[in-house]
Amino acid sequence: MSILELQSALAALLPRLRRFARSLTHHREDADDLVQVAVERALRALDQYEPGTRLDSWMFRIMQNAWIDEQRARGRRAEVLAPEESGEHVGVSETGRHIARLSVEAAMARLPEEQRLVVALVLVEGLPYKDAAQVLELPVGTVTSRLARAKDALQQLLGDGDIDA
Amino acid sequence: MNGPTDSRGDSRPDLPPDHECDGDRRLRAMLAQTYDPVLDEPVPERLSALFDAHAARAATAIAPAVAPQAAPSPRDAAPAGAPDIPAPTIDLDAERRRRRGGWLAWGGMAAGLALGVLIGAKGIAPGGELERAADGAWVARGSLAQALDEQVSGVAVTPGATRVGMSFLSRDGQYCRAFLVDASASSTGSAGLACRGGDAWRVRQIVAVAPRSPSAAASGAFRTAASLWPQALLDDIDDLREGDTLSPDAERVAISRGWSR
Repeated sequence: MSILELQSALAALLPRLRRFARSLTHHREDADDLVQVAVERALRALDQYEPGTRLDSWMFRIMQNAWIDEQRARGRRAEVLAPEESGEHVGVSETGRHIARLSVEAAMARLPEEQRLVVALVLVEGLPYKDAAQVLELPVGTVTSRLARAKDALQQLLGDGDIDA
Repeated sequence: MNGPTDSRGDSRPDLPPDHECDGDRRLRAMLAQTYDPVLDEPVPERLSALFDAHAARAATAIAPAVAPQAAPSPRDAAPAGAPDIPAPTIDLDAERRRRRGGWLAWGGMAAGLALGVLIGAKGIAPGGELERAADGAWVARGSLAQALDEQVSGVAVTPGATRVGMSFLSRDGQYCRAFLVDASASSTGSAGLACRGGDAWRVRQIVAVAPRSPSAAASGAFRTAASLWPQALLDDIDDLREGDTLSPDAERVAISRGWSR
């Protein structure tokens, strides 16, 4: 894959990178800042990408590193503002679907960072466990157990909410 | 890339649906409902522009040092209040002689880039200087269109302003003009080629050009014509043009006729 093809493939990933970032932080601007930092890092390191490997996994790895770096820099590791405030702005005319989304964001925000990353990679981005394990540099078993705990926590937080409302 | 992902990245092969309980399926559905709409949002320009900026930096990194040569004299009077800045005209033959083996690497890369890839080049902005026509072509607007409409090649302009370098008739009888934007500053500028189509200038190509060298910037010297024009653009001109470039007098006639033939 040439550099131009690689850049083009990276550009095509932007929607998914934004989705992954949004699942880590529901703040749109924070999420896009994260994507920007990650893309800038990736463009500087294109020669380090190994052809034949998953480009999305490579980018998620860069993003999760950038996310951790950013949180460390801000001194607020694992701190993600829960979106209760957003809920206050939801008018009575808002659909149940919107409220359900806010509930999911709130539940995700309450997860420990390590669990939120696993959920974002496996359940939101659809990475196989082994690829998520490579992104996070963890044994597959650790990913599996973190995901199990995360699912329990989310199901407990979300209760019996109706997703089709 | 490998892995059986679809366009939304939904492979999830480790958890066959048959092995998922209702709670798992419901959780996946809720997450998809929450985050999948992001995929349909327009990507902010600041993110897509990162690739343009990268290409521009790459151009800067491999651009050669500025050739120290005498600047041509302005062929027209400078606008009132404008500093005496030699304008960058193109001597195609001299350019070709000078560049063989120089910017070819960059030129080849630039030639392969779609206009859209570099549309965020310095000084050029969709919605400002460029606009999509109904047929998908980019047409010049604003200060770029004004310069192409009214400026005689080689006139001195204020720093950072759009400057026209040359005009010629294409093989299919269109007027075409090469231009520079913001290329006198110490940052990366843009060079482009536009041809008259209908009542607008249709932009065929825009490529990044390197800033002048630090020593030249410190001395206040303006880059000379020969240092500015990317090979890709010169090659495009060679492919397109029929005959010689227009003289300033011929350009003035074309300007007075609104570049119609």
